Amino acid sequence: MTTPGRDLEAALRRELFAAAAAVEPTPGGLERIRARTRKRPPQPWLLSVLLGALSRARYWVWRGHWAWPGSAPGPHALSRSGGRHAARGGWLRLRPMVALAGVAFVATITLALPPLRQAIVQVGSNLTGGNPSSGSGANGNGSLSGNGGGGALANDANGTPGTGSSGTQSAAARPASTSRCQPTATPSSSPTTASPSATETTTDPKPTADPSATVTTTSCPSPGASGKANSPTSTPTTPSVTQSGTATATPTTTPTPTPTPTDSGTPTTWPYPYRWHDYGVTASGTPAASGSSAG
Amino acid sequence: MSVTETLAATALIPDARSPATAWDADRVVTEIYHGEYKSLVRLAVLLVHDVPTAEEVVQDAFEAMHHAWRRLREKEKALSYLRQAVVNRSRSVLRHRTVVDRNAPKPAPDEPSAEQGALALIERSAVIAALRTLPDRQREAVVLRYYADLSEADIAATMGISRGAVKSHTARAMASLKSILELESS
Repeated sequence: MTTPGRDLEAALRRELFAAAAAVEPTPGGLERIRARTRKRPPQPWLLSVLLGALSRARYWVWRGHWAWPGSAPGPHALSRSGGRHAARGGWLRLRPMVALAGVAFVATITLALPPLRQAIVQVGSNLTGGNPSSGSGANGNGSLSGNGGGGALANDANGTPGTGSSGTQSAAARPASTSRCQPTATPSSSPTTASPSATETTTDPKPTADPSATVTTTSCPSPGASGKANSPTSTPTTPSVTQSGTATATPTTTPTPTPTPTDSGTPTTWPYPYRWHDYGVTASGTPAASGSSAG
Repeated sequence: MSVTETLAATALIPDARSPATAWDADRVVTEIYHGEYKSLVRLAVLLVHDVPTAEEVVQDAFEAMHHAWRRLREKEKALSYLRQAVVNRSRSVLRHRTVVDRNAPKPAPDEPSAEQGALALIERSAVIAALRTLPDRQREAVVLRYYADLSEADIAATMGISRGAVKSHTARAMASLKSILELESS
């Protein structure tokens, strides 16, 4: 039985065939396969195309070629040229990192473009059951939506006019803390600012807040001290809300780059996604870091 | 019509999105079944040492090929796809069996296990018994080389490894078999 060299190969081949010949499959295999394939028909063509592209990318990442392994030369095809194989080995090691970098680049570009980002957030809010109107309303009109769908979008320092935020949503999202630390970022040079009192009565859940208290909130620290884009000092957006009982908020962008705190004592709608307590500051918190802060 | 002719004919279908795709897949499954099912089951038996499990593995491979029929770029390589699926699923079965055996309670010494009963059919020779002691990759390389009569390139494609690795696995397997058989004979 134990013969050296090629005899061993011949004996192995003979024994393998003898052992396999003793195996006889049970009949009815085709019927079982057909029963399975009836339950699971071929994939739809769109899904098959997507999965094919995914598998090609996967093979490119791990194997180094795009196609099915049997139809394209694998790494072993280059094994005879040592230099090329060595150079290819380094590239093979870098390929997963290149793929990850590509994915990160695409994700960054996607999130950097406001329309795409808005679309993604809108889709996300829709999928999570959020109200799309609240997401769009948060885009620049200064109201903080309660469900968080547009919270990130409200960080748009460009003052993109948003439409359709109802006053009830703003009121629900902005509790009484608005009146205790109300930023008075209303530029005095903004002549188009509507009567803030109307805004207060419709958007603030506590319309009885003392306007003088709002004025005293000028001592509230401003996030603009950290140089963020959403700071009141860097945002020329003035959320002038015209209310006629329908709670329609219309933000107006004023050309004045530096809003000046006024003592008009009229509370305005807070146009930024962060509230003061998000910075760990209470109404009687620490004073602003810089004097030029509008907060 | 032979299996190769059928596969070549289906490969000439211009549009894989046609409604007849399912019918083509059914036809190819039928053709390959009649031509290759028995040899695929025997190949799987040599890998998993169990006839029912081998049949299950082969039927799974047929189902997977039928399901992914639109993704097969070269329809004439459906048999290669099937063979690779059989090897991969056999590997998965062995891996699962290893985990199960590790956690299963050990039977009494005089009680034959169910697996031993299924193995009695094919373990009649010392060569097959020695083959079973090899690592999975080495056993796959040996079976594909000496039973399926595949070339090194085909073995490499089937196992998903390089041709050099196939040579290495085969050489180590033959050395191990030789030492085991010499030890038994002495």
